[in-house]
Amino acid sequence: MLKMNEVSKIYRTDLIETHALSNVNLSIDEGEFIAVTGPSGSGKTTFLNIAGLLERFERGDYYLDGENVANLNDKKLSQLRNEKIGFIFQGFNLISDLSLYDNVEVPLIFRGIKASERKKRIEEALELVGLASRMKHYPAQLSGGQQQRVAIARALAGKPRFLLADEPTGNLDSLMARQVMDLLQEVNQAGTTLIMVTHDNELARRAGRNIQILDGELTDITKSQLTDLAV
Amino acid sequence: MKELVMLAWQGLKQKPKLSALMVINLAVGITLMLTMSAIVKQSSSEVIGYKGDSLYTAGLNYFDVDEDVNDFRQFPRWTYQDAQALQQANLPYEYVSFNYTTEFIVGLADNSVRPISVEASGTDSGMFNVLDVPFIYGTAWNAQSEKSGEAIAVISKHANDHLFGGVDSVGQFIQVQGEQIRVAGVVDLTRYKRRFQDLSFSNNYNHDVFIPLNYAYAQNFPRTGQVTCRTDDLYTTISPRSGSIDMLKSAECGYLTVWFQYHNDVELVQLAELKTWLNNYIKQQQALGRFQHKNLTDFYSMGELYILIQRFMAWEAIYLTFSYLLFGICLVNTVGILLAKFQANRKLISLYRALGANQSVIMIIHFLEILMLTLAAIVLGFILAFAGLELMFHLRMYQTDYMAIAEQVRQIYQFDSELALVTTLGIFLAVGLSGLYPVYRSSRVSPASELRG
Ligand SMILES: Nc1ncnc2c1ncn2[C@@H]1O[C@H](COP(=O)(O)OP(=O)(O)O)[C@@H](O)[C@H]1O
Ligand SMILES: [Mg+2]
Repeated sequence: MLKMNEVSKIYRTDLIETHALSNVNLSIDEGEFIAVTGPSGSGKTTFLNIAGLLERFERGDYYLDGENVANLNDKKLSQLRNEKIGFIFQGFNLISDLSLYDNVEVPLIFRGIKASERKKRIEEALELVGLASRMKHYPAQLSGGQQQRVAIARALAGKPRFLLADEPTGNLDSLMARQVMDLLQEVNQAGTTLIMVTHDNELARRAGRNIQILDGELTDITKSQLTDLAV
Repeated sequence: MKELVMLAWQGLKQKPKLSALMVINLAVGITLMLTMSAIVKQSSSEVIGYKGDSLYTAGLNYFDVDEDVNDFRQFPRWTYQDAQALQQANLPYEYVSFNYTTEFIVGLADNSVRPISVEASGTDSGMFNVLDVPFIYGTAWNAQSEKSGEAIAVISKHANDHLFGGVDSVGQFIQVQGEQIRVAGVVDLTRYKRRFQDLSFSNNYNHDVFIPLNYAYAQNFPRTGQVTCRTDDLYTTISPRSGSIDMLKSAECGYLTVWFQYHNDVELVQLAELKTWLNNYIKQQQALGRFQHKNLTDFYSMGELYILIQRFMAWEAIYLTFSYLLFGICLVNTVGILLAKFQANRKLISLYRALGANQSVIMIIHFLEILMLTLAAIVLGFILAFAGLELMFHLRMYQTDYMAIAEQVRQIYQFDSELALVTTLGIFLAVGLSGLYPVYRSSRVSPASELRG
């Protein structure tokens, strides 16, 4: 359950103010798959970062699982981020000096899970993405698609409620992109809420719901289409 | 915690060159600081601290008015005449002892070992109370031997090791200038970092043979310690270092160092008595035309002497100050290196934050990283400092043409565990403080800032 009321984000630099998000209203239910589209620079990443508690916002209310996160301190926000949210980045963001196993372990360490339990979860997660046999390998030994699957394993090992993916296939060729998409969809079907930013319309069509961001303003396309149909 | 240490280790590997730079930079500062602290601490530590206010030396100045005489280094030693007068006065004290320094070659009658050249004391048995050294074998000579000037000696462990292979040599004979001298005892003087009994405070070696004054006189052993006469002409005539002892004894030339030891509870009263006697003695002698200088007497407790000695080690103190300054500069560098290092780690920090690390966790990881780097720097610093002290020890031995006794000199060029502990803690604290700002900065890296695709 995720709910935003009139959420706005302004970036201020010495010279300019950028209204990256304006008065966003949105409600997402458990288990939904939402694709976020829009031109570059329109505020998609900003939206995802706010949803994922990576950034704070100026105005509005944001309820994550019923809890208003606007005034939480860093410690609490970090904990929520760690427990409820899994991130997948366009650039994978794996740690190149760590083995796949160790990469997946990082968020579990921050949660303070004990070693035996960590081991179980890491193995499960790598199993799920089909890379269990390579857990001693290093990211550089993998293809881009495989690296993104490790990132997905890292996001899933913590059993998050929300999976936030920012152009997860942006750096992949179409075959690999499809494999990664299949995996994400599988995860979503198993119950995890998935919010994915993409500018690939074909991928966006796989989502249950499409929202578009234009100049910081959010439109729920699916809903408006439905209304169109109704009319 | 183990996991955070591992993450800190990752951070450390991120910029290996910066990590190495920090370790080397700190190690250089630590090395110099450790080396100089060790030398200053060891060389300024008291020789016989527990006697700091019970052991006294005094000076009696018979020089002409125009001589500069201010501290114990300029005061003349005691003349035979004045020393005799003092002894006959029968003043109260625990012990009094006179000594002068001499030099000779000592060997064995059967030439079974190579003879060695030694510094020695002509003294009385009170000296062994003053020195308070443990007898490994035997005892001091008795009053009878002292009075008669018997050919008897107490030798050092060093001499005993060389001449007798370290076994009990009591009753055996050493040979000096063809004379056989019976060994009465063997003492271990190595606990003294400096030889204080002749006021030389030399660190190179201690005396190897102690003989009764009367025997030294009888043999006319040279006076190689400080000797001065009232006038240069007198010095030339008497030739006190090598000339006849009888002429020296009757001349106004000083060569004896005196030590008084007092029980703590009666010290002040008895010291006052000594001072009164000296003043009366001076007055009496002034009637005969002696003692015209404005500074006639001088007293130092062992503790006061040591404070004076430390003033003469000014250069060491200056080097120590410089080494602290350099360490300060190294700390400033450390701040810079850490800022650069953590700046370079921004992306990793951002990722950790995104994956759920809060600011405290980021700070802990970075402090652990600093701790590891500091530990490496300290280890390297200690290794280099050991090497540096070893080098300085050898230079010092070389300077003395390897005449100095190694184990004596080495005492100055070594760490003690207290210094090692205190400096290690101090370094951790100093580097930790320098790390505060960089670590704080690292914890402020926002979770999203470096991850935007
Ligand atoms: N840290 C920042 N400081 C200032 N402006 C920013 C910052 N991050 C993003 N922006 C601006 O906010 C707007 C939205 O950016 P973003 O959310 O990254 O867009 P998208 O992901 O849709 O390409 C852009 O105009 C961008 O330049
Ligand atoms: Mg973006």
